[in-house]
Amino acid sequence: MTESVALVIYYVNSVIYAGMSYYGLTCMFKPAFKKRWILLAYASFVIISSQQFLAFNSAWFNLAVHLFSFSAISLLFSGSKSIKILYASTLYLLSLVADAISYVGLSYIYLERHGTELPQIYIYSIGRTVINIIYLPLLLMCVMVFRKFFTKKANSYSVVSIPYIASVFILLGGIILIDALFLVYAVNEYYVNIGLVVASQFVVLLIIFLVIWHYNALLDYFHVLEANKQKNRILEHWILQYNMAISSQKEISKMSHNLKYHFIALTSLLKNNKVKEAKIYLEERLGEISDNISTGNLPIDTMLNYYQQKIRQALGVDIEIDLMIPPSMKLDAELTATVLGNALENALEACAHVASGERYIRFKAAVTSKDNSNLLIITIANSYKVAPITDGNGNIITSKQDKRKHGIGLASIQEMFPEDVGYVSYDYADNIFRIMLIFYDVM
Amino acid sequence: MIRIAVCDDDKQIIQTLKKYLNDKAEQLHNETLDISLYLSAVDFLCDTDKGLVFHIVIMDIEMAGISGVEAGKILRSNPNGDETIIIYISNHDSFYREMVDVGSFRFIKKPLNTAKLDDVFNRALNMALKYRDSLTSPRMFAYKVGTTLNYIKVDDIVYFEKALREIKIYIWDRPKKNIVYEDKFYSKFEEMIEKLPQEQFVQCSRSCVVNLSCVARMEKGDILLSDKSRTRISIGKIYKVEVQKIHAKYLEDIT
Repeated sequence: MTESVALVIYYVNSVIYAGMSYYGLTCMFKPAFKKRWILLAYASFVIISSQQFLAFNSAWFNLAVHLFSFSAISLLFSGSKSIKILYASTLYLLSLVADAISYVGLSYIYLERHGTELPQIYIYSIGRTVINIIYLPLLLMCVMVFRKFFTKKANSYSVVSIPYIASVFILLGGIILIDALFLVYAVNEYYVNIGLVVASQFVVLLIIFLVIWHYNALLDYFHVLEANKQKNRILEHWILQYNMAISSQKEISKMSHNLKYHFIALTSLLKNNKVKEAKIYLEERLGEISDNISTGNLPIDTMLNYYQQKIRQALGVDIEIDLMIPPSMKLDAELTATVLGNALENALEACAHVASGERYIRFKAAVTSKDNSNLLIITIANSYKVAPITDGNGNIITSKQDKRKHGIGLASIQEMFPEDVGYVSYDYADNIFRIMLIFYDVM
Repeated sequence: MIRIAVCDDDKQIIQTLKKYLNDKAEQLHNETLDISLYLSAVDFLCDTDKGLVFHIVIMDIEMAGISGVEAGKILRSNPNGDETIIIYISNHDSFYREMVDVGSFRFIKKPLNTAKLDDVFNRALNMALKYRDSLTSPRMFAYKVGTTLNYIKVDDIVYFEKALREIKIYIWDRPKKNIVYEDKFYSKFEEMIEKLPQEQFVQCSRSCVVNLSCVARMEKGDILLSDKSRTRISIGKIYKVEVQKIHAKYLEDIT
């Protein structure tokens, strides 16, 4: 193998390495800058890191450059600064582990086979290729661990299920097997066939893309699973609302049918001066009319009627409802229902820990208008006993044992709101937790 | 004294509201309520045309002749008419769109529920008291230019902008619904922020403090002000959550 071919292989692998690191960062954080700036940063990183490696070949200098570059690039993504730097540094340290495994493995096999030290030219080319193959499974595992412990994203899957782990590990096992074969093959011959090295490089690329594709497909699968869970929950609420509407309709039909007889009964009572009895009669009839919430805004009515029933059964209290809203507001039904459903679910769960006499959930909705703009403000306040757990930045993280069985977290509700639709805010003090949902231009 | 008008062509409703307001007046210790009753919007508007300004108006929507919504629009076109709080009452809520156009309103559905009426009226009364106090003894912001101490009404300020140690004040040009540059002074930004009412002003970046009463909405990391040209003020990343929190609390307090 000539030095120029080794260098080409080295550069190709450097680009693949940078690509994998970029993928690792995007799995955890959203880019805070436009993609072209991030790509420019990575291109600079590839050029600087490879040039300094070829020029100085100093382990300490290499370490400093990489740690600095990884941390600096991570700052181009949004999220907690400390977590970003920790994550980027971990990614780099894992690449060092891959580097060590590759170097020790190749050197050992080469020494066994040929009785001499691994030539520098092999370190550039085959060594670098092996690093990438070993780095990929380590990177994916790192993503899984960080997602499990640090993620707040709505579409991230901190719950790692058994089939998910199994399928990833089967692939990783495959890669390790191929690694071993590649290592043995790579150092087997004195005069390595360049065509075979290039071909094997493409095989490696293919494997890397296949693993990433598989990983992404799994993430998409969990994304759809979560979305379906939300949709099923909404569907359940719609069905209840539909049943309520049907029974209300039946009630109205029955009432209008009976109205004539009620009037005859009332007239008879009043004719005989039985005012007291007439009042009792009226109150009894009024009691027959159901108190379903009907503001004319389907997502709000649906969620309130469903949770009124659920909370009454679960906690033995009624939601205190204060509505000053017009009918038929311009609301995204799915978004509103999902957000309200989750906020009310969270309120229910928090209230369940409170002593029965002190439980309450208040729901207030009002529209305010000023200077050609209007806002819908929904406040859900509930009593709580177990204080919310916060991360280092004061953001609430869930205290729920099994997140899949409960409402999604607050951070997820916040992420669900498109910026031009509104936003979510919350505060808590003196055992009162309040979540405020602001919707823009609802009329 | 808080001046209240009740306008409804239903005598029974007028009597109910009169009794409620009289009872309310007796409960208030340091405040008096001046109650005027009208059986038609025409009578009510004649009085407002003569210069009578009400803090709160409780008005029926469906009245013979001029409707409550039309009366509200005419009232808003009067000088000072913008600040009157209108509480609409009606048998149904199909007029909501029109009520929103009139602005600054509360709505109670008939038949009148005492608890609801009490809740809505108490909120309106608190707002009216705050507004009256802001007129009689407005909160002032003091700043020094050289050796001269200047004062400006806090409610007139839209935002402050810092450039190095210089702070610029932008205020409302109410008739034109525009924002205009007013003055500049030198001060430490943090010290200046401390002097402002915390529930009404929010720091949205290292160099900007905004009056929440002038905020229309937030969008794409910016605050959109409620002036004609919808001036944008960008929100610093680290300030975003806090700005939303304070803005939401402010909105909750005023509704």
